[in-house]
Amino acid sequence: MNRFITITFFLTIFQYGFSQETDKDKPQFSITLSTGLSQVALKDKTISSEKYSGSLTPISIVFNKEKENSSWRLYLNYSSGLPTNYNIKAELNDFNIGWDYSYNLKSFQLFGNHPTYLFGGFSPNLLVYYRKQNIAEPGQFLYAAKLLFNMSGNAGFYGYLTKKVSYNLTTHLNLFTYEIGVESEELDTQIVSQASTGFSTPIFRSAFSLNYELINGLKLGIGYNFKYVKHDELRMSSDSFLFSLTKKFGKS
Amino acid sequence: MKNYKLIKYLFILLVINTSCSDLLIQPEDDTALKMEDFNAIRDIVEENYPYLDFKNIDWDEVYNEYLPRIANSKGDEYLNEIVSFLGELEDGHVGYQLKSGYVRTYDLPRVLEDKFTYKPELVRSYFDSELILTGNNHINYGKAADNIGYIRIETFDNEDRFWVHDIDQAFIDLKSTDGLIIDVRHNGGGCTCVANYVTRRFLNEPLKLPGVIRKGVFYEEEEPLTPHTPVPYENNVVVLINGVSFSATEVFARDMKTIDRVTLIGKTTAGGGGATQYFDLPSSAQIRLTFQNSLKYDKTPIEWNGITPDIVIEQSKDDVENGIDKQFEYAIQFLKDK
Repeated sequence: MNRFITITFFLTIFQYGFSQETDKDKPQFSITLSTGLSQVALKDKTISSEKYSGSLTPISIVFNKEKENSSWRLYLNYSSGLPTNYNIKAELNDFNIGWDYSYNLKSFQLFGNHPTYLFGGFSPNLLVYYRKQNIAEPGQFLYAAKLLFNMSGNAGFYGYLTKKVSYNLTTHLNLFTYEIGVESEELDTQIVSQASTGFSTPIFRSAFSLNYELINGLKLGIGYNFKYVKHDELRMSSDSFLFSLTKKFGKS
Repeated sequence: MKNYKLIKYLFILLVINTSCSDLLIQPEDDTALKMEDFNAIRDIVEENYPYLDFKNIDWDEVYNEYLPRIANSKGDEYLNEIVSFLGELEDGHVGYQLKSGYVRTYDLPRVLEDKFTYKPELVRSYFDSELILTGNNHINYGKAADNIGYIRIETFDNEDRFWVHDIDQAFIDLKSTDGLIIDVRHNGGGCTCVANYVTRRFLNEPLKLPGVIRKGVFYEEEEPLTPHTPVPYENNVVVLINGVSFSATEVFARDMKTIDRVTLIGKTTAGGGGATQYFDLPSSAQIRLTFQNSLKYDKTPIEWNGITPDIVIEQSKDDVENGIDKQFEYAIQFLKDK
């Protein structure tokens, strides 16, 4: 636990160090709100080995700050719904908060000489998974919960298809994870914790979005997000189709 | 041209991805393991459960009734079927343990009846000053009107076996009272070792316990329950019980009832008698099962029968909602009149 906190702390400081503003940097801010529809499939053997699938409603808010050679994003995603296994329903809540720091690694021209940027960086983030399931009779529930603190790598590219249409493809893959979970044994509920690497417990997220600039500083977007979590006895995967509205602040 | 190719690849990537969530998580066919668990439960119950005859349960018949239901259950419908199957034992101690939690399989009728007929906060309203909270917050005590002492024990759980020792301070503080109420209503039990610690403080002579039955064989208790000397409280005592007083609390009520200066007031206890054990199933699940029949002094089981109070005082949900604890009020008056 201490090692994880120490590494996260130093990486965060390291990133802040590099992200200090100078007069030359003219930061741009944007806020994106999005919602849509997710399809989720999961298996959590702490309850049973059965597969649950169904739709979730995702909502997301992203605060984005761009500078000349780097950018960072603070994001908060939440999805909830009632995936099913035959006639049995489970209440699922999936919450993700994180911070991406990315450097522009390379720029080149595509789509009629419009600029495209390749970027990469680090993303400390927290993933909260909570499942509650009625069993046998009303009022009796089984619970499964996980708190996963991740340090992930991020990479992707963004650019313009036309003057008004931009695109963004981002991927995240966790490098290591620290878990706090809940287990029940012989009437006692226990808090368990463990550290793992991205090799043994991969958590992968990718997002693709297309944005159209409606008026100056206001963009309408569509996007697709994919997430896969494999952690201990949990396997969860989701596809999300999102509509978004982005408002930019500051000068280009 | 190059740009259109890129768009094409992105589109293909998008189409592949959109069906990923479902493809990546494949269902597992563990029907065989489920049947193994079901059969294991049948065998464990048949071999260990002490009340099949007493409850007039034809276990083979129950098994045959559930066999097609289990075999035809789809997915996690199986969990509900297993809980119902174990529920046929009508035993408040029997449960199904999964890694994510414990599932009760049966609620005893008196537990359901008295579930909302007691509120500890209501008892506190009868006191002029705050009750003292001790013993890992499991013990509340104080002095009520007319110099009557009150001790509430909310559990006999032994998660920290030393918490009950704090009750000795309560006896010291309440020694000068004219009578004492021990309130074990809604006490769901725990370990008889904790219950016995309290009982011993009221005994004037060794108490020979009534014995237990395991796998059809009667076993005498080897050691009697010995008095704690010196006896810390010698005046009259009322033990308040109700239909949610369960398991080790019923053993406590049974033994306290044998003491002359102790009177049980309230309603008959839940009727959950016996020691339990966890049994592993072929999957990672477990069942919790009663394996020992704990007897009353008349050699009938505590199971289902419960411990009857010396004085029955009914108390309804409406009484509690109207701010009246009839059982507590009666106990105060009873001790005052003694």
